[in-house]
Amino acid sequence: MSSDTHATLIRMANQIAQGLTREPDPAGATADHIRLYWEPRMIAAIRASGPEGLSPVAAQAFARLEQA
Amino acid sequence: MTYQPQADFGTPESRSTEQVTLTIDGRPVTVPAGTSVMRAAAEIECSIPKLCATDSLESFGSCRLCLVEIDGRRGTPASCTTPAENGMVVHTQTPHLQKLRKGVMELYISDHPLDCLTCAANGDCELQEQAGAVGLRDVRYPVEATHLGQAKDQSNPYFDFDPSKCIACSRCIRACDEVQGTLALTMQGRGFDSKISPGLASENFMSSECVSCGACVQACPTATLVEKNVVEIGTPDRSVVTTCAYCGVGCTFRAEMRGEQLVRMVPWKDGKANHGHSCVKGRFAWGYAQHAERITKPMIRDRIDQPWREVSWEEALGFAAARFTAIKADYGAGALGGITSSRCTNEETYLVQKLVRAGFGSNNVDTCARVCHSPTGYGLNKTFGTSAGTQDFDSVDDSDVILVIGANPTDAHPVFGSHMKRRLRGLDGRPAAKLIVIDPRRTDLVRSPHIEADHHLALRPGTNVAVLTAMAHVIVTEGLADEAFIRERCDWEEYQDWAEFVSLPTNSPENLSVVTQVPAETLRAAARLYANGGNAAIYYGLGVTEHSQGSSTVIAIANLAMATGNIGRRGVGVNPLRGQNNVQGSCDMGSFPHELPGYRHISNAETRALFEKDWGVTLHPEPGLRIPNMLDAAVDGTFRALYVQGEDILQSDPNTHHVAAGLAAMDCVIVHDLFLNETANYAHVFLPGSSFLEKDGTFTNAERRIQLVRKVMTPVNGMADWEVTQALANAMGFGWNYTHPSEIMDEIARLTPSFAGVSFDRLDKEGSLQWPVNDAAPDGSPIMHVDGFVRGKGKFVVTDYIPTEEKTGPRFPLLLTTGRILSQYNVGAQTRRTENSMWHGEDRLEIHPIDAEDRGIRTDDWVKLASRAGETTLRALVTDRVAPGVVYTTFHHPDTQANVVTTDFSDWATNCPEYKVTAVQVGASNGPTDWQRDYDEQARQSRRIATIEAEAAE
Repeated sequence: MSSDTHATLIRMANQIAQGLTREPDPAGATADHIRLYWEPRMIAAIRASGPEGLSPVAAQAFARLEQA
Repeated sequence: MTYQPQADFGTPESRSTEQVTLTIDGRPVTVPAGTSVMRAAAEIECSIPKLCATDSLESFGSCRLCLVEIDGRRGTPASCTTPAENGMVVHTQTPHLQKLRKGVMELYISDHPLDCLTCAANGDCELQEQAGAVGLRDVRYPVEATHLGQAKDQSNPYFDFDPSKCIACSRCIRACDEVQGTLALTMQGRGFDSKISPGLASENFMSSECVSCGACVQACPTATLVEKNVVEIGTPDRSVVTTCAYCGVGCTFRAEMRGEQLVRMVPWKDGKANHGHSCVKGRFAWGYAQHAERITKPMIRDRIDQPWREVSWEEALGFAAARFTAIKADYGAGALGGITSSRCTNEETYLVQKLVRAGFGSNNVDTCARVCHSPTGYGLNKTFGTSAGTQDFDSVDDSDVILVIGANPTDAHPVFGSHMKRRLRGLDGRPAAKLIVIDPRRTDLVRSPHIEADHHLALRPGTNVAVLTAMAHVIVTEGLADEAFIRERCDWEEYQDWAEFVSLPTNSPENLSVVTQVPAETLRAAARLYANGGNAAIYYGLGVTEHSQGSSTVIAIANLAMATGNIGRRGVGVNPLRGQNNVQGSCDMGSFPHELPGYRHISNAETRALFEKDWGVTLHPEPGLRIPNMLDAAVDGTFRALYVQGEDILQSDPNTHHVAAGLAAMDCVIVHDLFLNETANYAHVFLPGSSFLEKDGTFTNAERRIQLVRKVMTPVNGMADWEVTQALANAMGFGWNYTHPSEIMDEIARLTPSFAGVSFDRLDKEGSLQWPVNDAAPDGSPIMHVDGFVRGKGKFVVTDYIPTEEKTGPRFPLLLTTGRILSQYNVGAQTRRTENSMWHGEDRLEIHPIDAEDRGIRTDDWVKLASRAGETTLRALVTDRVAPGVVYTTFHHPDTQANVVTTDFSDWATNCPEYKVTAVQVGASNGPTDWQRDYDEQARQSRRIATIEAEAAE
């Protein structure tokens, strides 16, 4: 995966987390959003690279996706 | 058969529910109160002679030909201006009337050329017809003073104006006023000097404010205003009703034909979206369908640096199928995908997504709606429970307040723009609707003849959410919310959370004016008007969606409508104006990678089972890649084959460099299109497409109205687009056997509850249907959420203003926003291949006089437009339509490549690109940038088609 693609995915994840800040459970809402709209290889890419660059809420969302 | 125009009842239909009965020539007739005697007579096929009356215009009473006698009344009143009354006894033909009419007609003909046999209107001329109807046999007046022998004005590329043939009935002037609302025409001079004039005497039609909508041409009873095509070809001999393939208004037209030659497109009076009106695109700009640059033979090549090779359909499809199959074997189904087109029919779109899901075995299907209205889908689904506008277009007739945000309907949705203007001028006799415009640019709706917005909120681009939150702040804190509606229809607790949030002092107009640049008092006044002004309707466009907070803005709009109770009846609602003819339909048809037709998520096992059973395959349960992610994955090497139907992603998608890199990295790109578009520069297979005139199918417009597209001529490429997709599927071994698009619609209806009651037969009989059409709404649904929201309770969602990451700074101090112009359409593939380019031959950069002066830029100067993503050059237009700090351009021309400049920032929820905000710098320039030169060379190389001689030499 190119560094550009990786940066794009991190930015997308952070943007989603930010967009859902006002939800009662922002990390849960972010995880749901990603599960509903992201293709599996996008999720896998972030899993593979680890949470570096992710905002705390986005990182928490990915932790929840791991558990699922 | 001779040519038959649509019936003309002389005066408009009355909307009264009260009925009156009268007697005309001994026959009883019952009509709504307010109907003219002329129209009542026409209802029983009694045609009273007329010249200045036509049913698209209010009665005028000037030609004195439609006189009648009415028992108990003195004289001979004009039937067009006399309302029918109960018990009235009317005589339309008496010796006295006959004499009067003959006298009037004699005067007309004494000043009209008698060249009927060689006149373009021969056989389709009301003057000729009426001369016959009144029995005129002789003209006694000597030919002395006349207005004959004047020069024609042939400046408009689509119609001629011959003043010598004018009978001064004023129908064209009234059409421009009442139907189009441009008021470009006037009557100049008196007596024999009377002449229709487009603006000043020094102006011709082309240099005037005329927008070439064709309303005057249609209204003209003679050959004074006549289509150049009719002059050249002759009158048509048959007509087929079909649906326009330009914008999301979905106008219906009579395609008037002679043989297989299209003579003209005439707006259909029974069309429920356009009511007999049209714009310059739909009415006139269809010549691209027969353009010399159209590719009619399939072509292939191994590598994109090779010239194209024309081959048989069989070879092209075999080549494509072999490559796709091999890529699937080597890299898995996830390496394959497709893009559906909002310009193609529902049936074609459905087939492409079916090919991807059932054939390729991935969910990597996306559509051009990704880059326009995907936030509408997300936002309205979240708040209301369905991804569509809530109203039909006619609903605007009952609006008291119209709020237009991020939309420019008079340019981008012109026929609805005219409809809206009629309401804003109160032409229906009721008080005019009030208007709020939220737009960084002073669009024509803000101020144009007889139109003036009550409030124009000229916000800084990128601050929509802040403006709407501030409006909500005013509505809640000033007690203007409709709490009864909210308690009944919405989740009260969610409302309270939202109300608490918007009421925070940080969300006051005073506080937010620092970021929005909208004066607090203007914003407060607009909010009060929206909440208190009666029925308030919101219309929005891509100025809402194409932002990093596009989805949040759609949600904020829905919140405002719910908070003020403006949902669920005529005159109110939330109305996304769709860019392309079938944006709504392509979304409905399951074009998004995460959902099957009817907006059902791919993870839903029950829905999947329904399709799996029907299609006989197992579907992948997880979402596929969106367009930008396909391109990322292509660069990374995991996505390698793409089938693109009727979409030019290289020109229309943001950050052209990135798109080009993604396409260049793929092993096989199939472009299925009318022309060698920009994307085709990177394609290995070109499958020629068919135009909307060459196929059957359906389009769904912005009001969810499904309408038939009817084939009027044989496809010059040999196959309709649905047949091409089927042939590709079959070349890959999928064994499809549709014989007509109606069978595809039957499959859609079978599998999609909101389309359950839709069929070609019904559409043919009823003209159109608005989904949902099902057991609960057997005749369709003009207005949605009438008794409650589709999702149950309306959901208020807090939307926090988050500034875009795209920021101005010392290097890029200006904000670029983009839009469309009336005469061109999107990437221009169609309109650039018509005479419409006479109105707009190049993209221009609008810049405020202050910013221009700082940089030493004058109108017409070449300027360099640079952003963090790239740079391009174009010519400047200095204007105060844009605010200081903001520049604006269109994206209709590939040589400008405005998307070289736009970034790949996108909406947080849907990845809809942020076209509307790019930080840029503008400076003087000598000419094209290196990128423009390189691109031009690459495009030239890539478009080479090997000649027969070259092949013979091999």
